[in-house]
Amino acid sequence: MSRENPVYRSRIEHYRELQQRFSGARSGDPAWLRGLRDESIAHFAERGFPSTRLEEWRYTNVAAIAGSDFELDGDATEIEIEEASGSPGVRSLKDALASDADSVRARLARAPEAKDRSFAQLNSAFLSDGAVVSLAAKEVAEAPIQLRVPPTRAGAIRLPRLLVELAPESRATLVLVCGGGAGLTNLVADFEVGANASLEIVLLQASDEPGFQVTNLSARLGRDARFRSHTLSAGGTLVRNDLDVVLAGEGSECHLRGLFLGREQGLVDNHSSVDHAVPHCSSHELYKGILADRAKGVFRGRVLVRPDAQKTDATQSNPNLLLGAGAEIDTKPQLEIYADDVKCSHGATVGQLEPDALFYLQSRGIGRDEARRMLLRAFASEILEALPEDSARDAMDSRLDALLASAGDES
Amino acid sequence: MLEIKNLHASTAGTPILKGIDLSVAPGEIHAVMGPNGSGKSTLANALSGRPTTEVTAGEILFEGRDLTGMEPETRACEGIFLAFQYPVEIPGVGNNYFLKASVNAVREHRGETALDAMDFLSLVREKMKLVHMPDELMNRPINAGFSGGEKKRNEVLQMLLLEPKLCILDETDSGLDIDALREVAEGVNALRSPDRSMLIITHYQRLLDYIVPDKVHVLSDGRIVRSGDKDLALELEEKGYGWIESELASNPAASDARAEGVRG
Amino acid sequence: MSEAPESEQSQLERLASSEYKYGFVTDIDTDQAPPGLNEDVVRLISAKKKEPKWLLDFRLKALARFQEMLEEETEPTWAKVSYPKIDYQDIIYYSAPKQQPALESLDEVDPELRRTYDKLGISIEEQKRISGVKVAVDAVFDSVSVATTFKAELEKQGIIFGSFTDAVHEHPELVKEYLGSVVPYSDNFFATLNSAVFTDGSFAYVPKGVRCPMELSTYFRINAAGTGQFERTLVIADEGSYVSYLEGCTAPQRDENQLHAAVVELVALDDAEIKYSTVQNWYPGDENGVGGIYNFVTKRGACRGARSKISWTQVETGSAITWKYPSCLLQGDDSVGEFYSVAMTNRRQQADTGTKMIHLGKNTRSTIISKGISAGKGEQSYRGLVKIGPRAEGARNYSQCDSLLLGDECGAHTFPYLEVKNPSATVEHEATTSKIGEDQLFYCRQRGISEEDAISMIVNGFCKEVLSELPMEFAVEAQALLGVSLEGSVG
Repeated sequence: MSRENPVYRSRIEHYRELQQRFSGARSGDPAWLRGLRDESIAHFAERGFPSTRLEEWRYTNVAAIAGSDFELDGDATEIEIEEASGSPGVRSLKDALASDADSVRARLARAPEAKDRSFAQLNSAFLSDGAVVSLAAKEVAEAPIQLRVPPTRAGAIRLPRLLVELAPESRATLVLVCGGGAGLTNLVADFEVGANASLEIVLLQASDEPGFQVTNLSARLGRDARFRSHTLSAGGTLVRNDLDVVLAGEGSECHLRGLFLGREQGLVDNHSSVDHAVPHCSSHELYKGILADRAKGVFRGRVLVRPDAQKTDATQSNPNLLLGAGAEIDTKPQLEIYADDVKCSHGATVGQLEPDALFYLQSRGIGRDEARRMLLRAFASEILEALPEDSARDAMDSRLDALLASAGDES
Repeated sequence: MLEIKNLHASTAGTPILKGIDLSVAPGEIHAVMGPNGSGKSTLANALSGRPTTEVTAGEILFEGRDLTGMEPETRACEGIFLAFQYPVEIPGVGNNYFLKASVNAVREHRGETALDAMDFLSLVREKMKLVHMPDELMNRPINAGFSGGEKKRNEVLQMLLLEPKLCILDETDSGLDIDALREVAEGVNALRSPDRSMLIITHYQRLLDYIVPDKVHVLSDGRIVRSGDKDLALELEEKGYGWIESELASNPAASDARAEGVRG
Repeated sequence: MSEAPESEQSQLERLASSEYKYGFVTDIDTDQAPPGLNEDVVRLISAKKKEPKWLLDFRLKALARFQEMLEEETEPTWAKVSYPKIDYQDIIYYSAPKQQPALESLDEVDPELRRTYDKLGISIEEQKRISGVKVAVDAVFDSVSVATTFKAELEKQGIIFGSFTDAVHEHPELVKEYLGSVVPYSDNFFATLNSAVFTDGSFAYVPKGVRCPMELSTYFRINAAGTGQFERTLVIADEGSYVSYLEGCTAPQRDENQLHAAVVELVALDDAEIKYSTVQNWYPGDENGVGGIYNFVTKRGACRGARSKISWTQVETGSAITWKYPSCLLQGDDSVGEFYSVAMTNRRQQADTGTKMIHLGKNTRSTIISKGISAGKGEQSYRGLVKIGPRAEGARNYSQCDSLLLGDECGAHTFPYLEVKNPSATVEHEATTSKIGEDQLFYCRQRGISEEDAISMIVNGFCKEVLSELPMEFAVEAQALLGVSLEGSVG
């Protein structure tokens, strides 16, 4: 899959041409924006799609993506903003670029460069629309802000961009639904959480179609800022999420939580990285996986504690259930610690539904299926109960049922 | 026994003790009371030589010798014992092994022979009965997984084993229910003798019902603001710490009370 | 605490500066090949050892592969260690004490060599094992086995123990069958290098149903300058047998880095058990990171038979860089793999160490207990792979990796990889990182225990689960070794 491979070489040419046409149609855009797109496609062309020889992609083979010529799905970059969340600070990226290009430019400049992220570079090569959320100091968005990336049709690609910025002491909850579809959704989102601000996000990736979803999410936290994320993934052929959090202000705190369900031959890969850059921060991570049929799950959680980050409190846990005979999980929690006065722990487990518990329930007259459902729910509830709103929970609940039905006769 | 003169101490650069004068004669029991943050634990740390507590001025004379600058283990061997407010858990190190190392370090310093495993075991068994401590706690790592009460009993057990000259009890009563408190107090009282002194640091008056002090001192903002006999503790219990503070505010001449403390 | 108290800081500095005791050089005549790696050198080594053709062919295949690897630049870079590029043409691949073998008895061992081992506290004279515990020792000096004790007594029970070279001549069928069967010649960069140029090492075979009556031990010593040490160890436990094998190592203090690339292969057949213990104390380099051994070692055991068991226990305190992952291939049903490790990095030492447990058979079980201690400017990583194959029904693994930090200039990292392809497996991994706290030290000191004793008490407590796995004699040595690093920590 390296760029020397002639097959993928031609795919790269395909995206180069696609990008030229795309950019050509937007000749009125500011020069810096067009320059950014050109630079990004050059970076992408240089790296190509990642191969499993890269440690970060060791368990996730993107040959199916690299081997097809995806076309743009319409505008391909928009994010729908639900009317109900009509906070003044929420608008489309296209509008923001039209009315206030300089501030968008400055905002983009503050996001991590991600030169080594092929998918993020591909996204930037088509940067034009998406959503911008910016809350003023002390502003509190009472209702969750609801955003939706439309489903991507088969053979097509979407490349939306989300920029979120919370000024000091503001608070917001954001629900982002990635609609799936049979194509490739390649989302990039960046979150800036100011001093003492609080941001909670839900990323829901539930799909009934054999599509691909790749996301690159990054967050930077200021002093005493709080960030909670809930990554909920179910369905599709391949899901790969990269979530990078930098605890840049003292006293900041993040909770990264996730539930991933795999069915049939699906692959769900969650990569997270928490960078403790300053003292007195805490991070708590809990990702739970349930894999049925021949599905494969991947978890990589990196916690980096830099030399100055004394008094860091970091925990990480990745429990998994394997339900299918061909199901697989590859988990790699990872602690890199350069400070000495820290409290860090991580854990990962792989197991099945507890046979004793199952038998206990059955011996009290509960049918086997119902007993299994109860135990699965119990496993998932730790993540689902903590969700800030109901629709995502309901969506995951119904996926859980589907997974149960599919894993029905096994284990 | 113990003579503290104009003791100033700070923790992490913040001054906590701002001139303590206190004198404890052999066989006496003194209680030091005060609200949270008044400097009670810092006093205990300064006396026992905790490296994080810096003595910035004044003297601590123990049997006529100045303690400041003396290593904590030397102070321990000389007979100063601190029962910790929060006894530290040390995973992997057996309680039994630790206590034996401790007892023998102190014995060797006194010029006594080290106890062998058998002698030590019978000594420990005897003392454990006094504090109603179950045998199995000896085989566990130091304080690891001990309940609050078990930790405090373990502290008093160590005190019984080391037979110090000056016992400093830092909030030994906090977190104990009434039965446990009574049993712990029994252990402490078993150590009362004419040549052993005690400094009992507490937030509550309750413990003093079981261990009756000769003197009671009230600490506020790093100074002893009032001294008296055991009735002062009762009065405090009844009126609360606010009483002392408001009285101080209305009567700045409360330094008289301090002077009384010095002579006491 | 916002600032470390003076006493703790200075103590940690002292801790980081304790001296290496085994840094002397023995003045002894050696027979050396010229530096460099080529077919002539490999043929020379093989000729010196009067090897059969099949073994020379094995070496030459490995050499060809290694030269390809050099060209492809496949020297591993994924480990969290850094060192200047090694010039493989600048290493002496064969060095042997001159007054050489065909020893009829131990009395013929060069007295200078004997004194060397005495200085190390390793007696290679049978009658001097005063402890009452018999340990058969195979002493390897630079690349050559110089003495094996208790050989005759072991032979009575059919146990073969001695130098690898002797085994090639005396038991070629065993060596031929098992050499490279666990670690193939092309396995990895350093194993391939070893396969081409290994000079000697130890060989042990325990026949069916025999419980080896004493510990077998190899003591490795690098002496000559500019040499690499490439020994090869092969231990085979036939059905229903048991053997406990110990390995120790030291090297002189030199300003240059020396490469040690060994391969150890273990094979356990049905119901057999091998317990392999290592106390590694190669010269670690000085406080500025000058000198020291690069310890790039491939160790792997195959639990080939049903109900077989292989247990690795290691105490790693030496070497400038350690790159080592003693592993178990759990092929037989109900077989068991264990890995117990204490690694200490001090000064500027780097260690990237851990294990691989590859579960292939049904109901296979593995346990990993890893304890890392970092002090000074030491950097340490635990890297472990637990892999459950699709046919490993009911496989179980438990891993625990704890790191203890002393001081604020060291690092501790944990990289576990869990790959599970069978849903009936149970895999658990736990890791913690903590420091020796000021509060713990003060608590001990307030009870009259000196700072030095308190630290060694806490360190030994931290390592207890691993040290208790070592055979008695070795446990004492290991504790002493951990103590050496802490020696003089209080003035």
